Amino acid sequence: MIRTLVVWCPDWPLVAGGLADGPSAVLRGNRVTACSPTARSEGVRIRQRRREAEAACPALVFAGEDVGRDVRAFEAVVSAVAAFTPRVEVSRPGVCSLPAKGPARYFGGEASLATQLMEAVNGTVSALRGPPCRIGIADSPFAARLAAQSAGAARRGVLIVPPGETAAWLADLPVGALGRRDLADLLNRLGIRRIGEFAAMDEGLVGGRFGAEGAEAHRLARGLDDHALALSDPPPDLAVERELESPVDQVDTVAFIAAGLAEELVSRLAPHGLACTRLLVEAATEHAEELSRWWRADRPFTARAMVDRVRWQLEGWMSSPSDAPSAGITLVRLTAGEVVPDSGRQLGLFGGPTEASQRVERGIARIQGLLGHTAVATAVLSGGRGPTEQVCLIPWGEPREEPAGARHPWPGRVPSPAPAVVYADPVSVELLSGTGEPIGVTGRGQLSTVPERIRRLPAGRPAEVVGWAGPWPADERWWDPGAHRRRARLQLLLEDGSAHLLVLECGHWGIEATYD
Amino acid sequence: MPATAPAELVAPSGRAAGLPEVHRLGAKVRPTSFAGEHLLPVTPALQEILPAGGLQRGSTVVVDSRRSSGATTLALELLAGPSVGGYWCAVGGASELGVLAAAERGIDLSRLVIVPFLGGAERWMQVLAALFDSIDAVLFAPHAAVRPSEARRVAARSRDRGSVLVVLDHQGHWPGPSDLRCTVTGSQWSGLSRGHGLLTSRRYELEVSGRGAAARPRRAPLQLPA
Repeated sequence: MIRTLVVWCPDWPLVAGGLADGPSAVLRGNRVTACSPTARSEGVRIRQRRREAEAACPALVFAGEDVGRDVRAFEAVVSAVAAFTPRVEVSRPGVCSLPAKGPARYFGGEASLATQLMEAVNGTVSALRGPPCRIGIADSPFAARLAAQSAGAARRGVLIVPPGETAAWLADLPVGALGRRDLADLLNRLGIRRIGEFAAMDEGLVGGRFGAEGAEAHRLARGLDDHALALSDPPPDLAVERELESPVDQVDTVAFIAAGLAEELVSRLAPHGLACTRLLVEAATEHAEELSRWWRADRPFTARAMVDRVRWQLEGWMSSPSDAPSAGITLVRLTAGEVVPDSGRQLGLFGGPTEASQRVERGIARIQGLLGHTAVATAVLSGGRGPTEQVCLIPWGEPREEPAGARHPWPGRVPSPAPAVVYADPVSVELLSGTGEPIGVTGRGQLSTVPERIRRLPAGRPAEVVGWAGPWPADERWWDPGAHRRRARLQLLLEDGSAHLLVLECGHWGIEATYD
Repeated sequence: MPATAPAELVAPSGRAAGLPEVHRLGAKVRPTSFAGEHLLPVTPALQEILPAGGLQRGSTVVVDSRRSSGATTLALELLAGPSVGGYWCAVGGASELGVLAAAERGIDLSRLVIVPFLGGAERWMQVLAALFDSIDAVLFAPHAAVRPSEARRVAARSRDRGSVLVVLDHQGHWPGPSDLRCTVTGSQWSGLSRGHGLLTSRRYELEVSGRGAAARPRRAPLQLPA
């Protein structure tokens, strides 16, 4: 039982995006993931579609989800809390926790600690025009988080559940508060509506009926810790570190080094059947400045998730206005703070990481080490009309998400086959009629006359045109003066058998791509 | 009758129709095979043209387009077969490659690694070596002339790792060894004429030469997209 204090900053993604005081929402994949109080009062809800949210509140302002931005902004809050105790853990941007026992004794009791913390954090948050934070104290991290969320304005933002009464306090809450939607749904249908009723059930029977997830929820319902404690002896060496010979001041490079460390840490835990749920990331610079942060995750950290934490922490540190480091990073250390048995990802029979894809990941990591993080790319198809717009290259390792509109119809798109060679910049050419006049496209989207010859600019031999199709006019983003482009495309076949895709923009023809 | 039982299981309706399917499945699940049978699959259009009916693992295939256009599409077609078969492909150095065309040829973009620029004089061989270590079919487009000794080392590395090297050689930059050389001697588009129609398909005249079974140059027509 760990007496825990949780600081919760409501609507953090909006505060970080600078949108907290109007009707606003954060979107991921066309669904609302966070919304401001004004928007909520208008009927915007989490998991709503964008269109539904707009219907409920037409003045709604949207921002994209960006965890990196949220974490960078949250760094200021964490620094404020870290002035009270160094043992701060960041659960996710907007929520951090600390063990309450020691600081409470030092700062004159839990109530006094909470008041002082609140003052310090609100000072930081109000600089970002965010709503005041809320604080909850209870016997387990989970209950403390719920207490913080229940600490409304009526309680002046602080809710302290007295020691030993956590289970009783939890008992009145609906089972939905356990945060497991499927389980809560099932329990409701079984007639179990309060956490107390669920907690009163026999532990063994719950485990037998609802499996590992049910047993874990049952532990939470009884006010016990999130993870069963002291399950096995932790392996002796839970820290991995790398000293860099030359200081590094780019986050990408440090993240690349951290990727190797994270792999090492995970593979060191794996033979013991363990995984890490609490991670200490430490970085030091050439001038002996240090920043260490604890990170906590609900699910055990994967190597990729560890690297994300390193990246966020360093980005936050380097962009912080007051105490940004003055020199390059020379040391990175990862320490597993809490280990749990790795219930594991069962590798799927189909899909899932195969040996081949792991081998590829290793090979690519080596190339990224040689050429830099962005030198290796994967491609996704995206919406658009021209051959360059229809493909989006993403650096290897970033999430491979298909942009919106990829599968929508795009009138004015040149039909397949697609050209096999696409030039970064169109090659300037001159398209001429039989009498040597330059050719344009009329307002009705027709060629002004029949093209007969094409000549490379500035000096090139004219080549005879033997076939053409088009033009395909594209009037794009006419509603945005900055991004407005009017173009027309033309398929062209020359006497030597080569075929090209020409584009006309602002009166100049260029070869955009070649059907090689 | 244990010998005939599997055939009946697969094709209860007609043994004659089912047998090729059984052979095909048998070839897929066969645990061991001879070195000469280490083939990556190719698309049906290329099956009849390539002497082995597939891409031999560890071999170097040069696509030569000095005499006519169309080599890039042919090189993508060579990668499409392995990609459809579940293998990984990579493109190194072809910064102007139309990725959309690759997707249209059937290459799975989630299993395609793109390294648009291979780095300077020293780096490109290391990068290619790292690609051979992990990826089954690598398309390499040299931007400058490759020295014969470098070409031999690159080809030897791909042979050692059992990955297929497809060299897209527009300007005769690749001097060295090739197990197979596909020269585009002619290509002609169809479908497009003066002011009507669209580019639809292209007819290739290929000359395939190489070592061993392919020592005698063969001429073959090819239609892409088929």
